[in-house]
Amino acid sequence: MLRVNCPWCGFREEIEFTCHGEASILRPSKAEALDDRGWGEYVFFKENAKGIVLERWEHSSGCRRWFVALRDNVTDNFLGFAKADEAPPRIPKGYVQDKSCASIPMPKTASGYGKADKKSLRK
Amino acid sequence: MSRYSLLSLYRHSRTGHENWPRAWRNPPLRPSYDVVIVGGGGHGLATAYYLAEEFGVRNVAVLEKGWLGGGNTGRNTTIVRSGYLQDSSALIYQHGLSLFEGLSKKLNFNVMFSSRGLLQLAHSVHDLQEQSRRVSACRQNGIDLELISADRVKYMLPEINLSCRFPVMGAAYQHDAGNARHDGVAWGYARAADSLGVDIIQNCEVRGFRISGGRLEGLETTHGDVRCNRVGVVASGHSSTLAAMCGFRLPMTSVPLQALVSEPIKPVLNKVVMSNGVHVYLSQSDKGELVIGAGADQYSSYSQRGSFAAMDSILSPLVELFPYISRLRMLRQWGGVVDITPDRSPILSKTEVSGLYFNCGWGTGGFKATAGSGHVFASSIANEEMHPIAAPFSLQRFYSGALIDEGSAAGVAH
Repeated sequence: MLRVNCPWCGFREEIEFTCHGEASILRPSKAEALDDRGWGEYVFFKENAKGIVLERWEHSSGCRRWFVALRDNVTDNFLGFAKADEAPPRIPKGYVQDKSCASIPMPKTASGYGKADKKSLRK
Repeated sequence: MSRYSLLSLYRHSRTGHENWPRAWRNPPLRPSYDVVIVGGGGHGLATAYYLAEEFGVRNVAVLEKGWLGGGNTGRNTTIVRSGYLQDSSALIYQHGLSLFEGLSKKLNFNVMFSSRGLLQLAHSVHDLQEQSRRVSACRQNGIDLELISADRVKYMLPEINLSCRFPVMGAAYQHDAGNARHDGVAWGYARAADSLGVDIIQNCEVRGFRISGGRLEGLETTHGDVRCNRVGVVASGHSSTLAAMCGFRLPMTSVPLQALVSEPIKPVLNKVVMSNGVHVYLSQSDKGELVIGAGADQYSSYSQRGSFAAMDSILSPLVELFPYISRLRMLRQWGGVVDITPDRSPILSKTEVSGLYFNCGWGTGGFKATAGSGHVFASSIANEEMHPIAAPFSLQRFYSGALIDEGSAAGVAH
């Protein structure tokens, strides 16, 4: 069973948590101007990246607070945790991705982690 | 292709079965093809077979980065059924089921399709109402489902514990659903496709797509470049990675789904049992192992490993339903990367790149559709126009809102 480090409660068992998916998804700033395509992209489409991903998790059976987690989804190893209003966790120096990610370049920051998101997290 | 028959079996027995020819060739990648299929699982191989057999497109290659049927084709629990609620789903899954009947003869390869009957248990009044709605919808679509009483469930499954924590109140029964041998399906399609001239290239990974002016021109692979104007991507959990190479995203999340088998025992179960309510599915293989499907994990993963928590959540209700299982040892456990879409229905679609087709999003229940999916996808690629059965499963539905919601049918892994 995975052990997840809640920034408030410390390490707890995976079953206490809910994974809410990619942390890069933001509600469009001008929602009223979106067409069907824009709404479809926002609601349904995902990066679904292979390798290092930044995700939102919730300690749903614990303190019920949300945080962001950096995870390698090829090995299922967590690489770092941060509160939602903190700077997101960085990829550890010298971290080596699995061989099956050979065709995917090593990201400088976690996959799907856009500029807009960075701004909103640091606000 | 040398035909398999009683006579060939006899002939090879005279030389100690040491001279059987290889079931398919191992050709090098040629520089150009009419159609390239990316992904050598059941769906990809079926697509290649029907392209060559029915639609006359024989200059076809199937590229597989691992070995044939080594992904979700070899990792599922082999259930074949078609009792889906929505009309579009009913059509495509029933098409698959009807192709499974007679497939062994058509491929000259025993896929061990056994329509032994499948029960979906109801554990509450609400479950019963939902089942009865789905049974009616299926009957309207020509699928022979019936609602049966708890007594009849007990008659079919004498070992079941009806008065468990969530008591069994009845079931939806599909008599012509069942199992097939998953490896056999992949190998049968591979052998038949190969004999029609399809090149099956294993250990060949796609590294990039050559796109010019919105038109597909070829592929870059670990075996060199290949020119091709039509490509069908059938890569299940890894479809998003391939879509990213072409510059677009897909509405799906890849999550681990696992299954396990027990030690082999004498025949105890001659039906397939599923339950959405307590999240269980179970059948017995011809070897005698109980094949048990476990749930999907909540987080995205490409690890091909499931979590212990998911395994725990399947075995506890299973032991409630069938108490004898508590004394069985589990032999093997494995996981696959399944591609879950928001409406739990597959994607068979053209893309914004002309000549590039995607067939993915089968999620937790793709095996049953192997034949049907391959057939309609082959038709779509050959005619450059989506087959009527495949048309509703276009990517456009995520923009128009015409989703095919099978959350209730596929909320449980199957």
